[in-house]
Amino acid sequence: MAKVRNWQLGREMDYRYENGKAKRQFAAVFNINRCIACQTCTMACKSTWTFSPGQELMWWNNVETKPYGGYPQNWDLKILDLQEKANPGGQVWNATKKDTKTAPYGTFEGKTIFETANQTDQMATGYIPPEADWKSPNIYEDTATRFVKEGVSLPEHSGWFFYLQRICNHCTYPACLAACPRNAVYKREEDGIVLIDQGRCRGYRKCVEACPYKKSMYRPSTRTSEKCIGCYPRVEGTDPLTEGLPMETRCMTACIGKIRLQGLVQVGDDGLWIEDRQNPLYYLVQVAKVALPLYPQFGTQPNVYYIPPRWVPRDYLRQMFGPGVDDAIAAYENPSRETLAVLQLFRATQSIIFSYKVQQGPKTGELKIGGQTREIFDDVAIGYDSKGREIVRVAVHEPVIERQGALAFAMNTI
Amino acid sequence: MVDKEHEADDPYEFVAVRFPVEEGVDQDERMARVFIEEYALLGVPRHRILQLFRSQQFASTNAIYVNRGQAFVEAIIEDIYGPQAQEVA
Repeated sequence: MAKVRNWQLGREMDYRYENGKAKRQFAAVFNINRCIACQTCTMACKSTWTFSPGQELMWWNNVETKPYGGYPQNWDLKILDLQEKANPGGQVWNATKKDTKTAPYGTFEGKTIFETANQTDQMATGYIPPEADWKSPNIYEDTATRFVKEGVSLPEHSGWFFYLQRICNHCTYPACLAACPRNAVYKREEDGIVLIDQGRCRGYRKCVEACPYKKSMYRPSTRTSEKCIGCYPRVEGTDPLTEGLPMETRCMTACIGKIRLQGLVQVGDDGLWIEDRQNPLYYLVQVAKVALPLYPQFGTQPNVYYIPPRWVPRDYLRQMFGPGVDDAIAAYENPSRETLAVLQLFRATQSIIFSYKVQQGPKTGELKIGGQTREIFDDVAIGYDSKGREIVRVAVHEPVIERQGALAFAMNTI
Repeated sequence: MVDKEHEADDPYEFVAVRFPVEEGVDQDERMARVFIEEYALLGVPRHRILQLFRSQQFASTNAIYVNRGQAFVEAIIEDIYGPQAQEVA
């Protein structure tokens, strides 16, 4: 086993291979606070990549309802349970052992899925979900089945849940890659996207077992495993639609709630992100620190980051996103002018935004947030492509469009 | 399907699971505040916010409106937007 640096855990850890050579890494930020679980992302992915025989139960992108739901069912509870059994009482963080760059959330003092595995028949602790768990994504979840004319007659909830949007995390230390006995899984140097070579794969399902996020899936019609490919023709700019420029994935660009932002970050030889202050992803994850990795304690260093839902009990969120939750929510609840502007870049363009600028706008009012009065401004966020050309310009103040007459039916919002 | 009554024991029915409510926390108040702040920071004018709760199109916010009444919602809007806070243009 090699020793690799996992900055999300604030320490070195065991991994099957040495650090890879990826110079750029596919990464994304999802703002859970704004997701309405419309599943447009899910269908965009499904209709692009997994519509063929044998892929019926395969959802590379899914949106599940927490705390109950999951695809496959209870995937996270099952992994957490396996880890707890392997290291009873030891899966804890030391939030005081922090460093801005190398341990921003503190230090994880428990064991990763690589460190609890026996390293003989398992390279990472995991399990293969039974087929029933893959069926009926969102069963028992928040799926309204009818439209009411008067009042609210659906069961009411005085407590609240949230939606979790999930794709492959294109992890820096992928468990699927470590587990594959055929070396069919590989991580691309140019963008860090993790792929399964369909020619080499023989469908042993070790990747399905090892991926803690359960984003490797078995396809019985080809007897191979498949996974999210990060829409790599779009990301690399070879899809004819992109006109040679890196473009966001299908799930990102389809998001009607504007909760997703995806791009590429630069990675150094030490595995840390190279400072790139005007990259919106770098800003959100490393500077504003409003976005956090999902279950970082698994140890794969996932590259999809989440702005945690601010209304959910904190102990639940700390288990899911680590000890950075309190600071992240504080930064999101009362955002800086820059954060507010960068949030407007989410799904503002199909092209990948490599850098941004904020142009200050006029003061438009004052609000009381968290008991404190704050000024608000109509600033403008400007996004630039890989060649430094302006590709999008959005104001902080969302335009309000009110439809009139017949068009007003059911569509008028506020 | 749209005309059938809700059946609580139907496993495919709407059965969203709630988080346990913390002691002393008014969940309606917390959620209403989250919604209002989220829109207010995007420059949505104060006079449009109440509609978000009155409209049956928005089941979550409307549930708060139905359960707690207009005065409850208005008090939170007042707290966030004023009286010392100015109207957003």
